[in-house]
Amino acid sequence: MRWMLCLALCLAGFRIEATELIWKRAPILEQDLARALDLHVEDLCQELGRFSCLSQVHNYALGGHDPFERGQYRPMEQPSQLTTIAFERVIHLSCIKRLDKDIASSQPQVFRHFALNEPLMMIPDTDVSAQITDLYQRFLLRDPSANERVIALTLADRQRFGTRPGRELAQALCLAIGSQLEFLLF
Amino acid sequence: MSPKLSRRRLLEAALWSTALPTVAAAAPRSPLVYRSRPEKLLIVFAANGGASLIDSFLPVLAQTHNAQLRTYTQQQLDTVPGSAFRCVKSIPYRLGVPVETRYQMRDFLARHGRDMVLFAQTGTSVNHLIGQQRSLNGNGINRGRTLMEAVSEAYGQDLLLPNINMALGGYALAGSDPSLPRYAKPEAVADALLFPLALHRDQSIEGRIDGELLAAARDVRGRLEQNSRFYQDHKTATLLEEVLRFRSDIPRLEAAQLIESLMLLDRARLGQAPAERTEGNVLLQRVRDQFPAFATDPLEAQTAMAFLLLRYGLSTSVTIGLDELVRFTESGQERQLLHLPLAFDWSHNAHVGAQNSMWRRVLYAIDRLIQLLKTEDYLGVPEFGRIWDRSLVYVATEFGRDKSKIGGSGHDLNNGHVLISPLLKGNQVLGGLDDKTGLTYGFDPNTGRPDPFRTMQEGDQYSLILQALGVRFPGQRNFPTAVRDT
Repeated sequence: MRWMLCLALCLAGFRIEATELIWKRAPILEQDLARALDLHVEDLCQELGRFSCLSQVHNYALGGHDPFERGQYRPMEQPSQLTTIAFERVIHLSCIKRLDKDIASSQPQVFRHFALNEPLMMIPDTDVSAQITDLYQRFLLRDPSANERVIALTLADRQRFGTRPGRELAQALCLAIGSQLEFLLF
Repeated sequence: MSPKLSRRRLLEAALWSTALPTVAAAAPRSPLVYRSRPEKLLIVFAANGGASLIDSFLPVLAQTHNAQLRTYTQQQLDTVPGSAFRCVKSIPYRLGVPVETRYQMRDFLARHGRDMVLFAQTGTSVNHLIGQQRSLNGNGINRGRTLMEAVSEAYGQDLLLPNINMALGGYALAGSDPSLPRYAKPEAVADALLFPLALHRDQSIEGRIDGELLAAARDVRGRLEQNSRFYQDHKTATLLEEVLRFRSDIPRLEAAQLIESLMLLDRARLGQAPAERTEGNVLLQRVRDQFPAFATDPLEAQTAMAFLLLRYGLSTSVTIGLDELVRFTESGQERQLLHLPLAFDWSHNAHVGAQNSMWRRVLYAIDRLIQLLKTEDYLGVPEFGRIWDRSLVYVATEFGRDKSKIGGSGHDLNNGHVLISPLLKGNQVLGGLDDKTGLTYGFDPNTGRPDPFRTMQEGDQYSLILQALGVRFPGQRNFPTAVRDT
């Protein structure tokens, strides 16, 4: 009986939270990003138009390591300052890569819910909302909540960005949704 | 699936810049000056694998009573007038192909010998990883802090990248002091050539949306995160808090536009920037000329980057490190070895050849770096004096090699280290060498006189280095005869 009382008092004094998070490192991030944007791994972002972001330039900052060409036998234990910058760059560059393919294609794969060449003021909110849902499902494997949808829709601000082409809104949405830390940590 | 192009081939194909275009000169940009300037600068050169001092600047002269030891004949040794040191001449060595022989230790002595101190020391571990760590943390004498962390803690608070570490293995590991301020922790850099691309979120991204929409996207992202179930569930998680803190520091880093200043690759040739003759570009070209193999040799790239980080006041401590990969270079029609497999640890297979080759490689890079540090003003401001005036180079290594003359060599605790700095009373050996055993011995810290019955250890050297750099810690040992008054 006494131990049950102690346990109850202990629990009352502490908040039990889900606090364990794992850093999604470069090899897994690469696969998830390729899947999210329907790209081959080789077609994901490149720095300076020629260096693979994830397997070369930002590999180490994003938690990978290259034992063969760089003699790195261990990855970093924890994310660093460079990780946060590299993560956003990788997402941004990959979004642009996908966008360019969809613009050039008669059958866009990801950015297919509104016309990418039309100005924002011609694009209804329902179409933007559908794109938001699609991006959430691709990156975060879930639907946005009602509140999240409202927040994301604020990017379709026609007073500020109404003359911009749809592809710019698409890029902004991809970056805003894809570069959330929920995609980097799990 | 297209074959993966090797990094080396991509770089060789595209990236040499021989001269700046003769476009009309833009108005010179003011030097990059940041909020404060650190008083002292530490450069750690990680000579991975066991760099033996008696195979470089403290060689044992061959005599009848030491025939069983690793020794050198008078003809194999060299010196310069007025120097307290001798050095080993270049020794031809082949590993299938010949090792390149462009550099002589004598040149290093001639240029920097008067600022050089040899610290005779016996370590406490023959394990690579542990020996590497102890060569940097003084075997725990300062709460587990590495030299780099201690210097960064003292001088790096306002700097953007106070402690940059480009080394590998135990040299790349952080110390173990939980009380170390976050800003003094090492930032690991895997590739000196390409790492500047991780210093800005959107610079050099072609086709990106403009600043206003980009800022709006980031703002929306922040609000999405705050309102997500994920954030509600994990907002107290240490990892999430840490990453959010890093993210909040990004604008400060981006404001410095460091890709422009640090990008050794010629962005103009890559179509990423206009070809302008700016002050920053002139300096970059000078650095490229000083390290002509920067695009293909990671050691030269790291050393070049170390200079830029110090020159621009971004860092107070930079660590350069050898890797363990074999590398080649071309000399005319001939292929030559530039870097041995396992670096200095190739001594297991061929001691003399490995030590001679790798010492010359290391000293070549340090020589080129110090030459730049001696000729450039700190932050580009003449009133601050030369960068070298406030710098200290420490050639770290995990242990020595055994002294017996039998082909390859194993690990040996007994060794010594090379320190180069105008902050030290240079041109001296702190300790001595017993030419009957090949073992180094210590010295009296108060008088500086060699003492054959005394052994100096990692904590002693650690104390001396920080003393020279003006950093104090509890339990620090004192070496009044080795450090200049400043």
